[in-house]
Amino acid sequence: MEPIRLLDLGSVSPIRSQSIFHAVGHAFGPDSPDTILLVSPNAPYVSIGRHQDVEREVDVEYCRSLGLPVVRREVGGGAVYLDGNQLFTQWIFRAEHLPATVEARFVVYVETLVRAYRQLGIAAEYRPINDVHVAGRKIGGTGAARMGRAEVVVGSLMFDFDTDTMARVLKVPSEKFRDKVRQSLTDYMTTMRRELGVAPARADVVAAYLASCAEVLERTIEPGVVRDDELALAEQLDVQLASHEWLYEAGGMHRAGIKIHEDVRVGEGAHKAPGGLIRCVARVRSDILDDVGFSGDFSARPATMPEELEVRLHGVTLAEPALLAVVEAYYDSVHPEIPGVTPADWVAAVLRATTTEVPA
Amino acid sequence: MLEGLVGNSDAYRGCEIRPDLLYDVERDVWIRPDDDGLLTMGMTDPAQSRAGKFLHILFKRVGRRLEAGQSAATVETAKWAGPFPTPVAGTVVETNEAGYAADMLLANRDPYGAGWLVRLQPDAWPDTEADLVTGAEAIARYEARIDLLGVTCFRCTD
Repeated sequence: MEPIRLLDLGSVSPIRSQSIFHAVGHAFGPDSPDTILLVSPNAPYVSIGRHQDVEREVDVEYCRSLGLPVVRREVGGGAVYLDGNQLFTQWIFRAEHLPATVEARFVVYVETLVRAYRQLGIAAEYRPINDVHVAGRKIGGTGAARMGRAEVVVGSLMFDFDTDTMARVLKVPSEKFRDKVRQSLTDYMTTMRRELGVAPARADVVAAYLASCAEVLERTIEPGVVRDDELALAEQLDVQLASHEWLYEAGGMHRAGIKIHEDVRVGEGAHKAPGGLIRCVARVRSDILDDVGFSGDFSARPATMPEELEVRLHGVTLAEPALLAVVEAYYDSVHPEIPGVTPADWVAAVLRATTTEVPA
Repeated sequence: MLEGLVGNSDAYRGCEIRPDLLYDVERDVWIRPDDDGLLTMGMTDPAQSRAGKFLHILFKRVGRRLEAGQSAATVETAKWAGPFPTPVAGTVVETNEAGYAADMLLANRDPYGAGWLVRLQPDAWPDTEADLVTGAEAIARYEARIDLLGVTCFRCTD
């Protein structure tokens, strides 16, 4: 098989860090080489998924005030904050040169990231379907798309991550929810800097990654150059991917809640009980209620309510009978005075916050 | 009896390729010319298996004219996003937006029936430019492709 073309573009503008792999994908002809693109943005920006509505997912005003560009990619998934602390690893391959199914493609792609991290001294592991974990924490993200004749798989090697800004750029239902997202990102994500104490040099990371790619793909990788037609298309896409028309094309896909990683998500929901509205922010980890908070216009005594109930619900399996048993036990032991709010109402609020589907 | 068992379809590595449809094998699209002159088209069984469970579809608007190879819809599955390209130039007359709004997994359950994606008024029919095959040739081409790609097909039944 032909060698893989390596395009290590170093640091480029935010929009170009997206447009270039779209351009190589859409310009992929019958004789185009499989390509690995390595690139980092020279300034921060926000990228939203293929079918996401920008106004629904992103705090556009906040991004504008910070001068953060917002780009919609042709790869699916959710909104992410990206900056120069990430090295994007973008594969643009002839479809027949990668495994046929998306799942199998990720096995190969993620393996190259895992091996690179391990060479750098980080105990990374493959977490199906498309994550890399270090001791239960996710490091980086990945995605896949078809562009013309090419299958594209993208992801990143993460030097560092700004969880505060990530949590800030998202449009969320409440500040309480935002706090939960921020805390969850801190709890369940990691970076090379966090694992090693100091971020390694880019050249070392690139060398480890390319060695891993050559090993896993059993192919030769040779440095190449961007063709003129690819560059011309990238220049067009620089305009299109951030254009108002493209950003506001009614994508329509909305996933309530925020997925932190494969096992962890944060959601918010409200339930109208006869005694008032109960709002619930909840974090679920592998079907266990990992953290829960209630607010609303109900009146409750004793003063330890609802905090005490929140503590009791921590670690409970996310199923109606289990939740109800805990809340009923609390009512039986404490006899709280909460007019018009029964145990079933609290459970309903938890379920509202947690059962809205947040696809992978 | 044998015919009754096999029906009008063959399964190869779990992939159903119906001999009565037309296929653009490279684009993984099936086409059914209807009596009203329109073409109904959708993703093949190997295509839906490769993409995975559908999460979202954005259809091109009815009335939109498309060149051959242009996307008639974009599909997002749990881990992948991609176009649904039309093999034939024409105008979008109808989309299955309502069907997918009711059940997003239509193509994963029934790719050749309820899971159709768009109906197109072709610019010209038959389209001599399109590389379409049917019957035994379609099955032979698909078996070779399925082997090449190493695909095994699966359907959603839940």
